[in-house]
Amino acid sequence: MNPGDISPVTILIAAIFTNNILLSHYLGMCSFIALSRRLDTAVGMGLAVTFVSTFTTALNWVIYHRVLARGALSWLPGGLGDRVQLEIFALIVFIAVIAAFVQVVEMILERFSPAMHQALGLFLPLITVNCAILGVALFMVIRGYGFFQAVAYGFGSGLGWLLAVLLMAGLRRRLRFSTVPRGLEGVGITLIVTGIMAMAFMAFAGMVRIQ
Amino acid sequence: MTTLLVSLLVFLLLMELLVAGILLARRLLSPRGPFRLTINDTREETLDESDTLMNHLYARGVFIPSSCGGRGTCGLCRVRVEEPRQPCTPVEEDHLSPAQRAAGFRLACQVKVQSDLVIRVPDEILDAREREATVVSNTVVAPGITHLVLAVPDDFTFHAGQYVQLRIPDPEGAEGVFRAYSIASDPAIRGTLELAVKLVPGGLGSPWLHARRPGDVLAFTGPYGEWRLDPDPAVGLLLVGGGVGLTPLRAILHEAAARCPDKPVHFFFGARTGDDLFWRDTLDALAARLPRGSATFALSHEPTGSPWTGARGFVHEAVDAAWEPEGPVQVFLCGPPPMIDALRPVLDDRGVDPASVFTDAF
Repeated sequence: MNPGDISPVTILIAAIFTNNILLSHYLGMCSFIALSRRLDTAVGMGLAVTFVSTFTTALNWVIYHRVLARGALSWLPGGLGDRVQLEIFALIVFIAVIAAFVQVVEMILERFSPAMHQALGLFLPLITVNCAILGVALFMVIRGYGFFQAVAYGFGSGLGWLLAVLLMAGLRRRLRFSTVPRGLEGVGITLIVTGIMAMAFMAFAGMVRIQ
Repeated sequence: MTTLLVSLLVFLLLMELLVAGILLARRLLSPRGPFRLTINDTREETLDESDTLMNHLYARGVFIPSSCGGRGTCGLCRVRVEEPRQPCTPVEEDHLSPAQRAAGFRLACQVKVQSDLVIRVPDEILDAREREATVVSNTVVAPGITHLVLAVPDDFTFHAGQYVQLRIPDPEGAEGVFRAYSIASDPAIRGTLELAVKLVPGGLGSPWLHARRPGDVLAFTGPYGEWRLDPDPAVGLLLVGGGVGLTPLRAILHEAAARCPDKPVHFFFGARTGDDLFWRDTLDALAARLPRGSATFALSHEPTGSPWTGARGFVHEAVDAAWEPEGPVQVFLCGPPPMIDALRPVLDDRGVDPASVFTDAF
């Protein structure tokens, strides 16, 4: 199927279950391991990832297709627009856009919603370097998504990350009372459990498929 | 060539736009002063810009204690914010008890001043001012530990167990940063301050202090700290120190020997090997002035077969093996966090009231 024909709803569901950014691509692992120790921090970070991933994907889509993509600047005089090569800058531009967006959101929250800033403020700077968010932006380009598809993919990936981190926080609460071999305590057992969880998520594979 | 130049130009333009967006947002969104800061209902200050409460206080000569330089890890810069009441950040929750949080306590380094503030700090902090000290001697007494003797103004007084903050030059900031060090000297002796400084490789404060030579002048504030020795001879005293955590305990031993020599005082000092023991003669001499006192030195990593005849093993094991309270007791623990954690069950086992246990983990 042509990627442009997939409905945004399918992409949304696939991004949560079958193509979960964390469990199928193993992206966003560092904050996943660090923040899945407690349920409340997992929820905070998960919501922050969902929010940032949705909006930066939209923003990055517009910047990519209106500035960076081949032919996007064809209105420039003298045929310059057709000759410029800006796609190679996509990676660095996406990182900068995510970082700038996070900073501005932090300032807006601090000013207008101190309660929300208190809840999410700690996690927002962490997101600047969360590779799941960058991964979403890069996949959206590779797969040639349209605007609404990209937004659905960004939102779904955030929700998928939230789901995975919530499940892990629940599991780790139980792990605290199990006997874990000494050398595997902490990160070791978390990675093993994540692997098992990823295999369990493969059961969703027949549900929908995007790539 | 043109392609490359235009591509780079468009890319740079995009980056400039992002930076401009952030700067504009900061200008429009960050609250700007002036804000009014009221301290203890007696002092009013006008703050021109949004910054942390701690930086504002330091800039105005209010030297609240802090040893981590505003990173929110030491928990010393507690102030009570009466107006406006705001919930603590997760960073602060680790350092403030639920009762303190309910009473409005915050860490000054985590409070961003964005409106008028009414705060309360202990009066001694308002009175604390910066003084100058001259290095008299700086001697290495154990691997990585230096004994720093400072000449200070005669009007400087302190209680045993208190600490001072030394101003350390910071290559990145003109103001410098403060680092806290416990006082080891006898509180009865005016004009002299003794500290022990452990070298933290790559740190800001300790390498600089290790490099001080006699005659060098440094600035300090204080004294700070709520540790007070109970002078009642009926109340026993247990002092346990690990490594450089010995410092405040030496001052307490001085005060106990001078003010209440009849007290039952038990002193335990843990180190890795015999080379890491320092001030042993002074400590033995102090213990000898306390007829109901004892000093135990425990070495955890002393090679077997060495001439060491004292206790071997961790210091909490030595306490567990040798110490029994003889009635009400005041306990001071100073050393690495694992040592203090290991001592808590020992104290619980002996029925020691947690309210009489004072700890300083670093």
